[in-house]
Amino acid sequence: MIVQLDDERERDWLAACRHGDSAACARVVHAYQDLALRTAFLLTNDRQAAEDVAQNAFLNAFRHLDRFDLDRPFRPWFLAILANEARMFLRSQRGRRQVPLDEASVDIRVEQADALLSRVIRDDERARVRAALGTLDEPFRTTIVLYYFNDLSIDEVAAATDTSPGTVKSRLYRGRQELRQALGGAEEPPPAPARQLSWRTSR
Amino acid sequence: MTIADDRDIRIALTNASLDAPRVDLWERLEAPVAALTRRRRPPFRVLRALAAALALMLASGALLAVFSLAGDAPEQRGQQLNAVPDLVLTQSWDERSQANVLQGFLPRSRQLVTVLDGVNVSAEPVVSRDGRQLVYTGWEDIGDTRTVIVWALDSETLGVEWRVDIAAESIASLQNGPAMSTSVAVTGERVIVAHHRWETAEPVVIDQFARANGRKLGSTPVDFGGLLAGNVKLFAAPDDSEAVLLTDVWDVLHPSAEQVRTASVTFSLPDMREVTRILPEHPTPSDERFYTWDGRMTPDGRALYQLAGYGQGDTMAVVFFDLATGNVERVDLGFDSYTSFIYQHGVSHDGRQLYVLDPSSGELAIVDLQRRALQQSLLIDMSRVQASGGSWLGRVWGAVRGLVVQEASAKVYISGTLQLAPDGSRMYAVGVRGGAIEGEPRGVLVINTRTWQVDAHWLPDANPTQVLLGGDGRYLYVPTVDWGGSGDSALRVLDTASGAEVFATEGTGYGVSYSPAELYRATYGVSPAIRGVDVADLRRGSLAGDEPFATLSVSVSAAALVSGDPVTIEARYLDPADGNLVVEGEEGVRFDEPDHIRAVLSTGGSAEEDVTVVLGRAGYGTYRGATVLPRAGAWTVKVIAEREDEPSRYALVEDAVTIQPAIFGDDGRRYILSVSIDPAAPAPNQEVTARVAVVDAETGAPLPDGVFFQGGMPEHIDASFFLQEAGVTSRDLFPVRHGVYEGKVSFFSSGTWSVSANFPQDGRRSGSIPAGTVVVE
Repeated sequence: MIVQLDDERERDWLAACRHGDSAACARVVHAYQDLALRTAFLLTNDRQAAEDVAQNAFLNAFRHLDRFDLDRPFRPWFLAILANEARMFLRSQRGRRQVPLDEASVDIRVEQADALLSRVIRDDERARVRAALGTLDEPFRTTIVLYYFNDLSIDEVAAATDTSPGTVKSRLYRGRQELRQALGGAEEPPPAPARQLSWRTSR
Repeated sequence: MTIADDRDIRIALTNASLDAPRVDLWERLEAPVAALTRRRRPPFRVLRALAAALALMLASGALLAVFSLAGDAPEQRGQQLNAVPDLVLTQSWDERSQANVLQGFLPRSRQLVTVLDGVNVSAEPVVSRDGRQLVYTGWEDIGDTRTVIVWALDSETLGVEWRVDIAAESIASLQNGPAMSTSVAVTGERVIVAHHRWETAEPVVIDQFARANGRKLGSTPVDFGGLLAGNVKLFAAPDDSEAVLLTDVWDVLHPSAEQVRTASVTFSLPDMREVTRILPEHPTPSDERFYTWDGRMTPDGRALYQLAGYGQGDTMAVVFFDLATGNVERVDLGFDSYTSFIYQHGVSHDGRQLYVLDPSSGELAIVDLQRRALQQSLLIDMSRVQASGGSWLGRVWGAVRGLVVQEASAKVYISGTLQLAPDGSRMYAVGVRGGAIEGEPRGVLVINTRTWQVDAHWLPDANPTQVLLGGDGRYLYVPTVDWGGSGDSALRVLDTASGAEVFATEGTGYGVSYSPAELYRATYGVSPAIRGVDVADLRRGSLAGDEPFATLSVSVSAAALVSGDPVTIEARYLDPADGNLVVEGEEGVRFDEPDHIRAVLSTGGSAEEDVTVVLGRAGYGTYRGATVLPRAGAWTVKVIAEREDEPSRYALVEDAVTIQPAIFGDDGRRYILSVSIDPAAPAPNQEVTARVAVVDAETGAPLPDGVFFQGGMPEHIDASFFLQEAGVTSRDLFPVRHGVYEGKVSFFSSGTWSVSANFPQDGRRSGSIPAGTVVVE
């Protein structure tokens, strides 16, 4: 279950945690660990990596808590840290393959797609979705997960991924296309003129 | 499945996330987070003080300032005709007045006196060649007017002899406009002041004042033909025959670094006739720049030099500006300039050699200032400092705490310099714990210049901002700031014979300290006489009939214990000459029995969690006490000895004893966990087998068959692996035989990983139990 905290209680916990109250830090972990593990799992498609990514995200969040504005929501800030941890993990995995950087994404995607294709046949639907997600390049995967799974706004995803709202929109578009393709669906029609788009720009 | 719309994607991702692991992350995070929150950053006021001090240092150009070291070389004695008082001056930020305050510490009277208050002293003073006068520049804000001022102080009394206002401007006009740059040089009879409104095409003005009374003797405009000028720096030649003005000029407003030219103009003195002008036709490449906010003159008066970093943080160099040609020469030191803030430097007693030390690695470069060449690079043996980490168990806890130390200390700067003993036998420097930019100042390194070894590490728990040696070499002045705790600042005075603290004055504010003697050597390249002290005849221990203080040392009965074991703390007073315990009636060492002596044991948490043990007299000069420590962890022991008529003394051993949680077997014995990996020294990302074995706490023997934990053997062990800077990874380890648990793990970075374990026992979690360290190459 993903807990939704009321803002005031969350702020109290974070303030206490910042001042060294270990019990308050524990409350924050317990409130957010499910969200963290599930997000990390979607981003890495690796259970062990998901645990590492999630716990390192908490550590980094607590380490930098004194830089966090308590009047702002914790969730997007924490998810940004988590997404960054996942990105670092994925990069380290990419480095291990020793594939030239230019070819890396293509090579990995083909390799993963082949392997994943066979899994898709026998695995359940959930694994199939994760496998499809895993075929996306990291920026697209992160954008899709933060937007659709974590329900962040375009602006929040942009802040979390250190890019512009326009880039987030284009990544969502292409990410969706690739996700459909990987799942065997039809391609998304090209985007309508900007005026007619139904993107949410804020919540 | 197919995805028709956004809703489908959301549902698909939500379902796909349901297979995520379900674990209680807090069980793994508890130990590192507890360590993290225990050592939160210092209070805000410290950061403000730091920011203010940094601004002060930037304003004064002190970041790369090169000071000189004490010396009494025989060949210099004939030159030491001029004397300066033995005092320490501190410029710091006063929260109350929101301005800098200049204070003087008078060692003999042990008094801290305010010299200038409520004004902003913009730079360290220039000391006159006869040592009698200290000349400051700065500014004072009254109403809407900022007045730029020159003060001349009597170096003996610290009284203001005269003050002149050299410029005034509206503060409102300064908000986004140019500020004033000033620089002072002092000759035998005159105080010469260059001043200029930053980034304007107005001429640089050089005013001359009579040293005796501040009467204005003349004013010389220096025009650069419409070019905009920036910072100004003024030097007087060693023989007072010439003055040199150095400034940056450029063509356009707000230039980039690539558009700056460095100009120098030489004038004859006292008529201020322009002798030479060097103005490059083209902008000076950044790796050939001589930065005008800093610099010292070489002893031969032919060049200026400074310490600077070049490139993208990869090269530290001593840079020379040849006054005859304007050419810049770089002598690369081979140091990484990312860490330049922790470097310390100083000049040999004859002014010919510049020493640059990286206190984190022990690298020392010696540069010949006359030949402008690297003379020697050597590595100081730091083993005495580095080996003080205690047992592996201590390092496990230390590694966990290191996560925090790095963060808390990320922006600490050392503004001080190396200090050389008058007899040249020792060098004093601020120690640094941790490497590179995250290094934290820790204690004072006492470096033997014959063996190039660190002989001692004084004030090991203090955060010095610099060290300053008194004029006679007998006392070392150490300004400190308690970064990790209260944020309080203090000036602590150590007896250099024993390292004992003989005096401390608190609330000095964090700032920059210097001594007139040091400034004198920096400016003129020779050591001055010290008033009231005959440096040439100095012999250690003969001063004022003082005997050196006995050294307070502390030891514990065992470095590693299991919960429930008593620990004994012993404090002993030692003769600093031979390291032996003082004996009753002994001469040549000063020892007075303390009124009270106690040991405070701490794991780094709040003061309420500390354990205090009163030590009883166990013989002459020996005090002892014992306790059972209530919690697992690495405990630091600090012994404090008090006498009514003396400042408190203390001795400290970090991570002196480590208490490991006891796991009781049903045979009544205590067991601990021991980690190993196969292969033993893996590469990063290499999968290895991690093995945690239960072993007897006393003998190290494996858990015998038929013996079980009192709460039952765990079905698995949740092992967490920490590496400071890198992070944490966790794995479940499963039993492969009785009392031995294994699992596969890979480490994503090289280094020494500390390992702790957690497992269910009696329906609860065991808590984090250290199991040792593993090394990834």
